[in-house]
This record gives sequence, structure tokens and C-alpha cells, in this order.
Amino acid sequence: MYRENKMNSRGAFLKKVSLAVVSVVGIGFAGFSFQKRKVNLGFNVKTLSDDEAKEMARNLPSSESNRLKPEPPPKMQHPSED
Amino acid sequence: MQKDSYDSSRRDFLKKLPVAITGSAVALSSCSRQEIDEYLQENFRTLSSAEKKEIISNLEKKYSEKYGKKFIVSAKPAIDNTLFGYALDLSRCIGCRRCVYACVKENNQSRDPQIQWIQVLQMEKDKGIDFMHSDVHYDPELVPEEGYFYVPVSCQQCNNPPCIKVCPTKATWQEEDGIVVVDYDWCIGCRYCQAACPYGARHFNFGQPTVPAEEINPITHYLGNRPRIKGVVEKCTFCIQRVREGKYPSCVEICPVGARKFGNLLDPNSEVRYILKNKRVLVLKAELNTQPKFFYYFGV
Repeated sequence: MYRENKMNSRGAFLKKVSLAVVSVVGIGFAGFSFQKRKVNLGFNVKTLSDDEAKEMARNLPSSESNRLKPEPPPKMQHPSED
Repeated sequence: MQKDSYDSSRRDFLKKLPVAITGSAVALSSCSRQEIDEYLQENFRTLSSAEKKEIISNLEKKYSEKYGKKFIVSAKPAIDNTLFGYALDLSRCIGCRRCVYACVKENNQSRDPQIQWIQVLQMEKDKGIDFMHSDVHYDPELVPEEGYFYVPVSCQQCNNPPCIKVCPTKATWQEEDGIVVVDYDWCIGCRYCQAACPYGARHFNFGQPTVPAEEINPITHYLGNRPRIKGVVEKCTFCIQRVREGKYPSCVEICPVGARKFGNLLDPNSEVRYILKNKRVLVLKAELNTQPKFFYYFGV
């Protein structure tokens, strides 16, 4: 009886280990494919990563010659105004 | 005692029933035939050509009477082999908000309460594209301000739009040319789509929209800029009333620095395809797999 229990618990342990391995691999695969998703329009689009975009934004030249007075900012709509 | 109370409530119900019926009849008789037809009309996609023609004729008459201008309500379908796309050069945009007000005027957006389909976000150059620290209410004397850049955001016309999946009445859908539209007569104002949109691109009419008669644009599309009513959601349609006639959206035309580009993604010779071929582009919140057809890029 004792031996049988021990066997059972080893079997259960192996089951759990294999389930854990499958889950980790599955989550990793899903995460990887999710991260790799790109704009899907039937042709290749070269995208910028967030870091590259940040770097490009930081290096934007200041356009002092193109300065204009901006239009007024928006007034927020709120249910209480109704 | 129990039975008595049931009896009296049944009696009460029978007493109130004729009053309710009379009330409903009076309410219905006070509605015009057109109002009843509008209330009972089918979803735009299931209407026959004859039904569409009749509905549009009624709408044109109604709007013309209300605003004192001859209205055109188009129902022009998508042009074959067309998938509209948009590209915006972040290095050119100066945040002047000309596009916002051109859009308001062209698309008959409510002036009070104010609805604006385009929001221009001011972001710090050091932080990059960072919505958490962006400011939509910037108001300096002159733009662009030193140390900032500007990201105009409107409907991204996603290829995989989460907003249409949540609509319980199927009042919103994607047209064949990629434009996501709303049937204002079928929108029940549940705002699920507004919650589902990760770009804040849908706007709800909490109050009765007001547009002064002298400022109304009478050239409209049924699925676009025709006058809306209180309690419905609205959004950018790439100026559907213009682009299906071969014109640019009003925001593209007004931009004083030429930061906005628009065209057919299926046409290899279009300006937008040139940008996609030659520039590295950015889509907002790409990790959500919404697949926007609105691309941002740095031209310099």
C-alpha cells in the first residue's frame, strides 16, 4: 500500500512536471509570436521599434522658422454638462 | 388576504391598461410618419437600393428644412480595389491644430458640447511616444515648443478593429475600402465601442449636438458627416464623403506643413505606398494587434 502510494505520487509528480514544461513552452511560443506580430496588409512594412522611435523623437530638429499660433485647445465634454 | 391583494392589483392593472393604450396612441399619433419609419428602419447594410433612395431623400428634405441649405446625403459605396491608408510625418507636424478645426468644420462635429475627432498630443522629445505624459491642452503663444513634438491621434482605421466586435447591434462595421463606419440610426449609445477602442477615437454625444446653420457642411455621406443626434457614437471616417469622390481628407488639405499623406494602399504608385516602401513606420499600440492603417514616420 505504501509503495503504491509512493508510485502514485511519483507518477503525479511527473505529470505535473510535463504539464509545467508544456505550459512554459506554450506561453513562451505565444508570447514570442505575439511580440513578432506586425502590420498585416499583404505586403511588407518596415516598422520602427519603440526604442528607435524614442531615439528619433529625441533627435528631431527644432523648427524655429515654422512657428505658428496654435488653434485653441479642446474643451472637455462631460456628462454633467448635459 | 393574499388573494385580495392579487385581485386588487389585477384590477388596478386592468384599470391602467386603457390609459396606457390611449397614451401610446396619442404619443404615436404625435410622431410623424417619417419619425416612425426612421425608428423602424433596417440596418444600412440590409437596405435595398430603393429603400436607401427613399431614406436618403427623406433625410435630405429634413436637413434642408432644418438648416436652410440644400443638403446632399450620399450613400456612395466603396470604390473597387481600394484600401485607404494614412501616413503622418512626426518630424514635420508642428502641433498647430489646423487639422482639428478643419475636421470639425468638414464633418459637422458639435461645437457645443464640443466634439473633436482629432486630438493632437504634445509629447516631450526626451520621453518619446509616451501617452501617459502627453498633453492635449497645450496652449503656448507659438508652436512647436522647444523640446516637444506632436502626435495627432484620430481613428486608426484598424484592419482588426476591436470596436466593431463589441457592438451589440452591429451598428458599426468596416467597409470594403477599410473605413470603419457607424450607422447612427442603429447605434443605441451603449458606448461599448468607445470602451473597446484603445486610441480614444470614438466620441459620444452626451448632449444634443449643435452646429450653427451658417457653418454646416451640406455635402454629406450617410455613414459619415451627416448631422448626428444625442446619444450616438461618432468617429473619423477619413472624410468618407470626400475620399470616395477622389478628394483628400480635409485634414490632409489643410495641413500647413504637409505632414499628412493619404492614399490607396493597394496602389503601388500611391504616395502612402511610397512612404511604406521607403520609410520605417510606427503604428500606435502595435502589441494589441489592431493592425492600424494609420502610420507614423519620421521623415528626417
